[in-house]
Amino acid sequence: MSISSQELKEGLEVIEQEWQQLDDKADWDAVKLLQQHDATFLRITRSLNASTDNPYEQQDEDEIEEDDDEALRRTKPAERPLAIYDIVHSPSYQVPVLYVSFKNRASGRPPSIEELYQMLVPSTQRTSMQTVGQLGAITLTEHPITGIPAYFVHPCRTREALEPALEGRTVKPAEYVALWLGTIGASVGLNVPLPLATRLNRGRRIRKSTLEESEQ
Amino acid sequence: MSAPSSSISALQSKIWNGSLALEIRLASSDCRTYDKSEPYLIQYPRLSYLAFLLPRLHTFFAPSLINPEVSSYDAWLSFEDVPLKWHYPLGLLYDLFSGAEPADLDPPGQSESVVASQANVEASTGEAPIPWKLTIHYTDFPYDQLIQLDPEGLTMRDTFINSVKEADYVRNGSARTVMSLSKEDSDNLWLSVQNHDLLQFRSVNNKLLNPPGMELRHVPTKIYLPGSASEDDTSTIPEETKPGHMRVVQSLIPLQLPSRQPQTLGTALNTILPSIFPSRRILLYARPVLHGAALPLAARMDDLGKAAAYTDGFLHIAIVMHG
Repeated sequence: MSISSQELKEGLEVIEQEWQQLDDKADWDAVKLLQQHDATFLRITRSLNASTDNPYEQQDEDEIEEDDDEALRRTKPAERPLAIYDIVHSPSYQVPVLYVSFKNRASGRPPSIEELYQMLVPSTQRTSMQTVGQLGAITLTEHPITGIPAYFVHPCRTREALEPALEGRTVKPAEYVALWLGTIGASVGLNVPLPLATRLNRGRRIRKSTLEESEQ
Repeated sequence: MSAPSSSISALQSKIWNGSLALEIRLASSDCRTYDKSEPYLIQYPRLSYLAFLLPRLHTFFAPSLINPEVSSYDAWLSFEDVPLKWHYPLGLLYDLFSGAEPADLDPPGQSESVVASQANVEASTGEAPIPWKLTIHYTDFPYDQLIQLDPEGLTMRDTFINSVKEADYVRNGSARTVMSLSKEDSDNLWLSVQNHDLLQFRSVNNKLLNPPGMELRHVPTKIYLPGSASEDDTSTIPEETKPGHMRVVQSLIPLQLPSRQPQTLGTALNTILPSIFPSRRILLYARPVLHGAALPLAARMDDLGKAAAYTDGFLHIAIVMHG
């Protein structure tokens, strides 16, 4: 299923607002809507374990990557390698496209595709990622808005990839984005954090109440 | 009425014959001699990619290099302070960055002349920066601006094929035509681009442009706006703008207007960029430039797509602001 740029913008706005209201923001560092001219995109920043920046030295480190948020917080933000995920509307494919770039890598250069998986995808999930060809290949390209080199998940099969999750339903933009994140985002380590997923699921009914989440 | 296929084909041949003189020098920081090394001179097709030149450039400059260990794919090219993107064809880079006046049958400042004299055309191309002076570098690769090449040329090929797929998707609403090309056809497509072989290119491209049972929906188009035309106070992107940064605008433009009139370049630009092209017929602030020529606003989008697309299937149109 396709989505127009206006619908995607609405969906991204909801994701951003819901994120800002979360108390538990452990999984992602920042979620921000960015704008240039009439193009709006969502930038999600995630810290990477410094050791995963150099996967060939400490290969076993990435297995604890997911639970290592406390350790990450102790290092200064400027020094940690960051993954920057941008969700941008494709005018050609009429679907969201995910661009991934990196900051503060020791080498200063983009990772190879093997290093990218090493850094972004927990090893427990990596086998299923071998089937990523089903979703579309991942290659380096030019970010359509910033112009910097970025990896992107090729969108030519995004519509098909979403079909099983949509089951023929018409969904609201925010739900579309959440399903898209679960399918395309997950293939490069951008999983919807549980508190956000919970919130998005409840959002329609009890958007005003934040009490329950704050108890968690 | 759509243009006859003989004119389309003749124009396409002309565009394929377009070439530019290049003068490429080694960056002084990579050169072992104090005085500059000799430049490499070549007449190179506008539709081709500079990356294909690298092996030849490397052979030529290797004796002058401070570090003889570097490989050809470590190199990058720049014009003044702008690193040149490998995946942009030469003609697009030239139209975007050289500052050359486009050839124009109806140059700005003159009244709507119906027939332009040959003198006009020559006058408007007289100041062309030919040869185009480029610099080859082997150090300080600008990772935040360029995609680095690889020894097997896979990056170039992948980027090209991705673009071909996208063009197919725009034309037909699916990438099925590209996906169903035989291995031989898709290899030949990339070979024809590398060898700059129009006949070989046509043998595959005609299959892409005329898929059986499909009707053309949109013409693949990317519009490039220079920094000066795209200054924007509303931008909230934290990255600083790099020299040579372009705003690239894409939009699905139907082939027909609601009135069932054919979509022209003028009606398309007026829809996509109304502030720069407030009129559908008269150029007020800027000219659309393709293959070194200012495009007539009356040109039909479907004709342009068939005759004047780059090898990846896109019309890459540079917007040149009036001086």
